[in-house]
Amino acid sequence: MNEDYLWDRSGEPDAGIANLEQVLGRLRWREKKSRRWPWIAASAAAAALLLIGLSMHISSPATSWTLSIAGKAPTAVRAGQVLTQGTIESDFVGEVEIEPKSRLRMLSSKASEHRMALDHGTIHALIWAPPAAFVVDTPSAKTVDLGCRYTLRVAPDGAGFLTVETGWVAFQWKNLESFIPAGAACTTRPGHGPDTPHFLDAPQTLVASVARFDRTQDPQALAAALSAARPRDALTLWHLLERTQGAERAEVFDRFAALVKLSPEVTRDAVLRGDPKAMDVAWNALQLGDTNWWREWKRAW
Amino acid sequence: MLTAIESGLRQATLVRAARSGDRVAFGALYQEYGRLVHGVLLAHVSYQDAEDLMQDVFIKALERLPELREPAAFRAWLLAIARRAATDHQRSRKPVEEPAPTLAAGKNSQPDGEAFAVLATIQRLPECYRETLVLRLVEGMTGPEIAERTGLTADSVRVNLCRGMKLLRARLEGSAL
Repeated sequence: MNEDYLWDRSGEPDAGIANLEQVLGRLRWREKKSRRWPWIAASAAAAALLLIGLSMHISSPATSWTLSIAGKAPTAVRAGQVLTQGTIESDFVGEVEIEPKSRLRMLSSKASEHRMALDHGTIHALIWAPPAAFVVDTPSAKTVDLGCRYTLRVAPDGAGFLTVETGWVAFQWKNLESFIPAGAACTTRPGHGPDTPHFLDAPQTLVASVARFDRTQDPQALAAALSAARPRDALTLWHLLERTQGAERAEVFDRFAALVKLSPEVTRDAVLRGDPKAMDVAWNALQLGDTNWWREWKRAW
Repeated sequence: MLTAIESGLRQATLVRAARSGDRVAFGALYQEYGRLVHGVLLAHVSYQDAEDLMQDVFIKALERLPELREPAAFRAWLLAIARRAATDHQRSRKPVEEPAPTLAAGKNSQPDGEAFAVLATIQRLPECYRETLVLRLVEGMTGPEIAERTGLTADSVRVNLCRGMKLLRARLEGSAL
């Protein structure tokens, strides 16, 4: 055996080793554009260009989306088209699986924003475009992708239900917004907008109490929710800070401050008067990621 | 060719960017470490499972990246995620009695049968030789690259390659390949 060839391919090739290389090389990892990894492949391609100093301008064509339905040839998606099943994919945006009997409308597809409307049904989205470039309107809130994988279901009455698997998603309606991280869920209702989000593993008492408070503003429901909250549920409490006023907000803040370690710059007074900077710093105490990276995109809404 | 220092700086820059939500930077890390992760997975699980686990490993890395405080630790941290994913996968798998692979059988069964058979033989070698051999013979890395990528010393890699290759040849010959 030629050990030098085995070590660094120097010297005379060893026939036996070369044969094994040739046979096993068929299993080698390829930088292929896999349907399972389109966002990675797209990102890697973009990064490669950026890293060698090329100026790259990604300008998606008006219809950058392709619809695939099992047993049929892929077709380009037109703006305004209504989609009821299948999978749509855009190289620079992501992949959206549409469950049968859904109604998803392609509103617009521009380089800066790809916008759709889910009237009813369920979609599973895997998005690799920059945050806020992929937006789905529902009858009760706008869904803005800040991450990469989520499921959105819209009931016939327009109510929405969102679960996030990785990354972040924001629900927005008028001045009300919810930020939903991986492992969390949020509902939204017509005429009301996004409810308070919660982690999927949150205590049932908390989930039920928060839902009741969202609908009735019942102070007892709020008290029950605060009492049931674990440190991880500070996410829910942070959103409740923005949904309460006066004494109720003070109650929420006290519980919030007991569950997370707050920076000294987050004072009770600042939070009670809804100071945006204090709210941002309070968010950072959740250790779910810094607000800076999504605030930038949020302003563009 | 980047020096080790340049490579380290580049990795740290990409990790910091990815940690702050830059998915292009994360894509570059995927491109940079895809081959290494694939090789480590392939040392433990089937080819098809390795393809599937690639997704799980990088999604987990993306999710947990904010927890990684030291960018220089990224490579070892990623390898740990990959090895754990392979271990978890093996634990969850139902035990299946697999026939002893032979190259002849592989040739007659499917186009990649030969490769699968040799891979299965490598996977039956002692743990310490598997990753090194897969990275060298499947992923096409040289010994020095394997040492640099895995953090093993060059001497360890050289020993693992030589002993592992001798064992592999003996096993393949023993199964009339």
